[in-house]
Amino acid sequence: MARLEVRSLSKFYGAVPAVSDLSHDFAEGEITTIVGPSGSGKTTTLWMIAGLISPDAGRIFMDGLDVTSVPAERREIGMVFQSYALFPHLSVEDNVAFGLRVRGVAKSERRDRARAALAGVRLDKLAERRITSLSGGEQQRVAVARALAYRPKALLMDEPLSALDAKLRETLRGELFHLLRDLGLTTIYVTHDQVEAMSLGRDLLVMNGGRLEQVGTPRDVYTRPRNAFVAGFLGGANLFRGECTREGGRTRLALAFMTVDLPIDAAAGPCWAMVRPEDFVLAENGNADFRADLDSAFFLGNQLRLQLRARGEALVVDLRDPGEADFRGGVDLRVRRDRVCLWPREAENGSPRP
Amino acid sequence: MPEARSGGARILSALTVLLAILILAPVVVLVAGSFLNTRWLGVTTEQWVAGSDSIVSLRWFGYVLKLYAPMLVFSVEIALLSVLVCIGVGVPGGYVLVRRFPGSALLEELVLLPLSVPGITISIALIQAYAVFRGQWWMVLCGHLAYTIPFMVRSVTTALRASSVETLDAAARTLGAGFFRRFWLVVVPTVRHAILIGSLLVFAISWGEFNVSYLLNTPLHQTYPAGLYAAFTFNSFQVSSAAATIFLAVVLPVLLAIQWIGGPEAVGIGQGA
Repeated sequence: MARLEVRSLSKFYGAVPAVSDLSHDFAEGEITTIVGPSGSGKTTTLWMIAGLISPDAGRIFMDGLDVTSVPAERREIGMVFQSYALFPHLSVEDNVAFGLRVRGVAKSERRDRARAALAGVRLDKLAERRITSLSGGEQQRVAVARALAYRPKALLMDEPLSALDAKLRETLRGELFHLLRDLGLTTIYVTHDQVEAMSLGRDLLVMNGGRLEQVGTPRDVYTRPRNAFVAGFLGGANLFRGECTREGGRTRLALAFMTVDLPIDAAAGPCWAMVRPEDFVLAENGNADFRADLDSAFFLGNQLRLQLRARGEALVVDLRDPGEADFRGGVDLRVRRDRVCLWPREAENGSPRP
Repeated sequence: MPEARSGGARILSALTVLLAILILAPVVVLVAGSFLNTRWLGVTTEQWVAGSDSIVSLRWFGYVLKLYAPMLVFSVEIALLSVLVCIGVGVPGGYVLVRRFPGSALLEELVLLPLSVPGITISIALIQAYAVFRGQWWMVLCGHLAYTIPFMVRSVTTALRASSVETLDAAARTLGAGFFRRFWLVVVPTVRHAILIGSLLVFAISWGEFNVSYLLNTPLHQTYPAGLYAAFTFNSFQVSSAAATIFLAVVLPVLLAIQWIGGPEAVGIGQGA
């Protein structure tokens, strides 16, 4: 188990920064998830920590020691690749034993430890098989066993489930979570899947354009996104232009279609207001904040998704328990006041990025 | 109109068969001429053993084997050495070339350049550059290597690019394998198929190479194709037929093996053999 730390890490491809000025202390013995769209620099970051790419600036520390110039083969950091990168000419067991073989571990011990690692992912029965005869899910588990078999000090996972279909992904996500939690290994898990990002790690790093947008627990980042990008990447997000004024200890938010008092602190002036689709509820007993007209409604099984229009503003609302109403005559809605996010807005023609 | 199309197809098939016959006929005549009484074949008469009316005779093979034995051995030696050196140089070379670095594309072009340069040019260049060494047996080997290394390099680079060897290499690094371990345990096994194909190609090319061998060789170190040329120039139809048949007997199994093993690396065969 190791403490991993990156300081002002940067990598340029030509003049384009793939990662710029990234600093973070990865929690020891915990899973940290890095999430972001493709091209956000998350994979480059992971490869730099592994030692497979050398950074153009910045340092990487392991247990306080500078390992920036230590080559990958001496960092003792296990890695699971998106494409698994299993050796096609070796059997399942020989793949898993590879890290032990290059460390000169005796054949019998190698075998025992490889079998144990395979048992950890419930694949000990397939030890003799060829890699090409395995399913995608089995290959993924072999890749995990191979990365863990030599007992690395930390584990990096580069979108390990993205090549699998949705159902299998969910099963394996659960298995991985339990395996990693039991190992207590410092793990960095890179993904572009928001469900994985929210569910796996203790900490969540959101990256965009090579920069760290936000760090926090998944719950914090989801409920208190620092900007519109983070909000939109981790879930549905309605973004409205508004004006904030201070009224006593409260903030009064005026939008095109409603004015509400919020129990949160925000600077007075032009602002962006973000409300997640699930943070609207049907109004009861005339306590509606606003009334919206229905554009379209989609029944999604566990919720009803409404596309609405209120005073010219388009919004998306997800209702958990819509009952039998068909909303064709319009819908009265109330916003959950503690869930509204406010960011200062610079100018009227500014982009929706605070 | 299916009738018209099938008519066209029939004409095409007939043309193909005709072409195949035209291409194969000389080979058939050659092989047949090496052991059949040519008077019986109606080709030529002059040197069939006097007083013998047997239809089949293998005596010309014996004659050729006795006469050209040193050249046969020399050619096999050169071909096998070419294969060994090509593996030793071409596989690591290909591994280096697929890693992108400044000038790697230019270097690759330079390595592959002999593929498009006539053998005579290579020979003259070798003779002029290394006049002192002319007559040394290994000058012939050098000439063959200039020709064959590009084939091995291309076979290996094609295979390396087709496989995801960069990721496999990265995985081996994170598992603790240094450069040489990765080369032996990951890269070589990944391209073993290409090495096999490349070796067969190199053998076939070296075995059949005439230009460089003919210009570089000396009476002491002649390759078998040079001997073939001599047989054609100075000997009878039967002797040259037998010599050519022996040549084919060595190279045909190699070519068949390349076709049988197949794979993307076998593409270069048409230009070489």
